Amino acid sequence: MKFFNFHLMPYAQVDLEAIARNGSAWVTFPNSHYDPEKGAELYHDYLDQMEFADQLGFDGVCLNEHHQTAYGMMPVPGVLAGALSRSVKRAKIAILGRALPLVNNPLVIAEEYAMLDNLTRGRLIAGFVRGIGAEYHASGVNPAHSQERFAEAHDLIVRAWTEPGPFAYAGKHYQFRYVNPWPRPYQTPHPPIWIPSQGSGSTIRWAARMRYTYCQTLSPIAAVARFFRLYRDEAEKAGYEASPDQLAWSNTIYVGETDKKAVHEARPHLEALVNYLLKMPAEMLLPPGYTDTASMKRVRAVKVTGKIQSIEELIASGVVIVGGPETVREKLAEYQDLAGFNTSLTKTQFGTLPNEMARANMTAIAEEILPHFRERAPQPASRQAAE
Amino acid sequence: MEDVALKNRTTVAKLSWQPRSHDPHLHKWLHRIDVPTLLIWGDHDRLFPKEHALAYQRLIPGAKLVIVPKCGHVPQIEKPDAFVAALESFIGAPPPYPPPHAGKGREGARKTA
Repeated sequence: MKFFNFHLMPYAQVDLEAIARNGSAWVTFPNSHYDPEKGAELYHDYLDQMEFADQLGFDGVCLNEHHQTAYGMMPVPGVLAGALSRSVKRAKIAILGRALPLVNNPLVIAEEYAMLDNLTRGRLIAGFVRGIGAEYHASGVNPAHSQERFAEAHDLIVRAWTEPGPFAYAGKHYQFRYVNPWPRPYQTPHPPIWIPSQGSGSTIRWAARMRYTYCQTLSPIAAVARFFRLYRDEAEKAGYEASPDQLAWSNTIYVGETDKKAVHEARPHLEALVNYLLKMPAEMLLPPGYTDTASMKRVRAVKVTGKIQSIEELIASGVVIVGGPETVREKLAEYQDLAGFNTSLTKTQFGTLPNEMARANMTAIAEEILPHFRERAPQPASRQAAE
Repeated sequence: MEDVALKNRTTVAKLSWQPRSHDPHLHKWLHRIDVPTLLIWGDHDRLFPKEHALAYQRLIPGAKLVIVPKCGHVPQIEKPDAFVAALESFIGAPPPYPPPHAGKGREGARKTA
């Protein structure tokens, strides 16, 4: 299994009660709650953690993209990837943004990723996302055009990377007389493309057909297993067998001395993440037209954002793994076999978890977990039994 | 039913996401309207509260405004009698035949301009 240190870079110094009063940490949460001195401190702590992950032997580091929120301070992830491109010496750098539909000129993303791919001499992983519903309030881009813009921007960027320029491009949302970006990507034909999603069926099927690595965000392990099975089935229909390397599970792991200590230490920080930083009204998460009617109805029925969740529930449903080293190893092996993934995108810092605790957690994961999984692949026998 | 609601929402978003349901430059142009103008507005319009009606009246030279009591966003459907009465009075045309609830409708309409 490969391990990536996945950072959301939350504004961890946030006043949680102020979020509760506002009803959400997104879009409408006044930015007067952001203190630049504290924010600058956090940026440097977090970048240090990414460099530490590289030194500890993580296979990669992941950045993401969200706008106008205390949940994550990475509206422009390329800035941070640029900062890391020279100090993260060995690990891959994955950006699990960029939200393609939010920009009016997708060629800037082709250029930005190509620059990063050159700076890292081919260690960039290029994520393409639509952005969650809140981004359509933050950017003003019409959510009813989101899927069209994503498809078109994706096609344009891949063509810009692979077809000799200059050429002209005429789409519905984007038109260019000249497509001829300099630099070209370092990797041939282009950086690996990863597709993170909350589990939309159409996205999973498309990623499988395109042979892109699919990353499942924050979900109970049973749902993750279902989504990954859909990917494998779709790959089979497309005439190939999906490798477990094409499936990445985005999780949170906290390793403490014992199960009890781990839960006690992680509780306030994890609960701050799910019950404060993640909370948003349904109309913000799902603006009209953001997804097709069938998916919209499915997500509306689940009512994901309202529930207050305890760490015990998150552990029980397999959204996170928290415990002593032995428990974490057992759970991770069980989940790997159940869902069939070979890449773990692991949040080692989460919610309000302070720097020292995050670094201790990273060290524990590197020492107690990573070595046991280096050579481990999913055991299909136990998965088939479970299915 | 949920399908219809979701489809309606998508269409509304397509048409009016940004700028959100209005033309932010309209106020610059309303002064050019040079024909007699009548505004008919629901007293309890929650989509565009009656303050909007007052602003239109202020910006359109000589505009008349009728606020229809106990009425929401769509006076012509919610209070047709009051709506027709206001319109008839504005265009100065007597009705071709006495409408069945004309009296009630006329009482319902309150002229403010």
